[in-house]
Amino acid sequence: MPGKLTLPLVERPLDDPFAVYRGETVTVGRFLGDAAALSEILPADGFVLNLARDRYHFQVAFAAAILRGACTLLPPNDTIGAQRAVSAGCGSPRVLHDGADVAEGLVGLDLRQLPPAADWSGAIPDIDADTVVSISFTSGSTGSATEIARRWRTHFEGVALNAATYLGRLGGAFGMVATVPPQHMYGMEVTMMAPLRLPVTVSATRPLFPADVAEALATVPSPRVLVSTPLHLEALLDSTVRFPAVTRVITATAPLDAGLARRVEERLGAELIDVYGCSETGCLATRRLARDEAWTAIPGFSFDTGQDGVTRVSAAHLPEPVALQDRLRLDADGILHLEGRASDLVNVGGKRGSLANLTALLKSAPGVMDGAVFQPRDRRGGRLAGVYAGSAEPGDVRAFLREHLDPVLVPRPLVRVASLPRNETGKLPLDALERLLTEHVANTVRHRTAAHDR
Amino acid sequence: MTETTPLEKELANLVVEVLNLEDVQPDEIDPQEPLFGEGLGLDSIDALELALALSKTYGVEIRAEDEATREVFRDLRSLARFVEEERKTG
Repeated sequence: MPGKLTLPLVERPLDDPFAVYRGETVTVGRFLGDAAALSEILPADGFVLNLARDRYHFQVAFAAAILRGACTLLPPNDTIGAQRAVSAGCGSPRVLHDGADVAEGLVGLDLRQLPPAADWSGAIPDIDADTVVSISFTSGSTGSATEIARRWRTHFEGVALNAATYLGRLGGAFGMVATVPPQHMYGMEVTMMAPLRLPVTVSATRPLFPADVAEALATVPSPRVLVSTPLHLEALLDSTVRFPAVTRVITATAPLDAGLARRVEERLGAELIDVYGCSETGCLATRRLARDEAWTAIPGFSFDTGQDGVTRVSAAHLPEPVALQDRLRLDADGILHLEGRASDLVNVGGKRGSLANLTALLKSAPGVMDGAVFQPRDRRGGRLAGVYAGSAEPGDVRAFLREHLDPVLVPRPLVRVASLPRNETGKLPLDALERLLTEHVANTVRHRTAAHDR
Repeated sequence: MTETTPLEKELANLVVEVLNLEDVQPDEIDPQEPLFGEGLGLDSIDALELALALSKTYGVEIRAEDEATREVFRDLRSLARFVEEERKTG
């Protein structure tokens, strides 16, 4: 089925409320005006790196790049190392940011310095539907970084599938607050793309602490949708803060247990929807975990597992079938069964990483001979740990890792050992690594207690 | 190393315990050593955990919306000052 050749940048009336930015409500017209003004000072046809933390800044920068015919690069984090890695082969991309440190040699543009532009009053701009408008960089299971290029059609049509499921049934206009970054697939799809087509007012902030979440919720209209992660929801439950009424909570990125889902529903008076998806395809299935563990596939996707055991997903808005990390089966009732999870991929505080990649990075540190990064089970937030053998001091290895990784992905503790507990086939069983870690912690505590008693 | 107050010592223990900093001794943390980035290298998950522990232990709520929180979380000394002031006014 051939689609339309062009699709609009926005599908909403110009006077619709669009975002709450710096305490005031910004309309669709103002947003388009700001995007058009920024697009005029961007280099044509090139690349931009969008590091904005503020959601409204991200929206304006993304739309401006599209209007200018530039492709937006979305790095896995805003470290200098990541900026350099994603810029390789893309000329000299303009770095659009709101306070990040820009890698030397790249030209930055601080979005906070832009003066507010006049409201857009013309027709809504049409965008060539098959232009690649974004490239996300993420950790693939093969051990090397994966690039995911998306056409405007893929971004735009994806919203309709979400609107029919977890963003539906809200009865007209709604407000949204999110604790996840706009750069990653989930945050991008739910908090950045949805507002271009659905009647939602998004808070530009990315609240971290429970009191901030409550404050942000109070600024957006009701019914309210909170977009978050299990880690953050657990923190909200732990706090004594009072939250404004929330109608729906959407969570993704990490496994959630039914008990937590029920407690969130009770505390916030909301319906909690758990979303399953991956960077390559966007959201694929949803479930109301407090009531039912089964995943219902979002209509429009089909799943096919080949002889090679790899599941490929197809949809009208995806240019070609996409191979997934997990093995999935869709039954006749529309229930999606997860039959195998790719164990190499980990998610820490919403940041995705590949253990193979992280291990390779650890081994590349100066003075490290052998090493492994792993995820001990039963650790809150999924914090990673690392072991290595070599002459380097733990502090120096940590500093090296911090130059390349988002802080949440830096393993803790990083234990130096004489040799790694490899078995006869050279593999590193998780049990053995966990035992090593337990011993290390016990020794440290003993040492600490002894020091205290002295 | 600068002189450490009793509250700073208490907070150092809290930080090490709550964040499972297995390879750090509480009395090794200088009250003026940065907690995030360079120094101890704490991150956003730690900030969240620490905020919850402070709320439970001292009944103080941390907010990040203003620049002030960066200041509060800079080191043990500013954290202690914040806890003291909040306890007085709260």
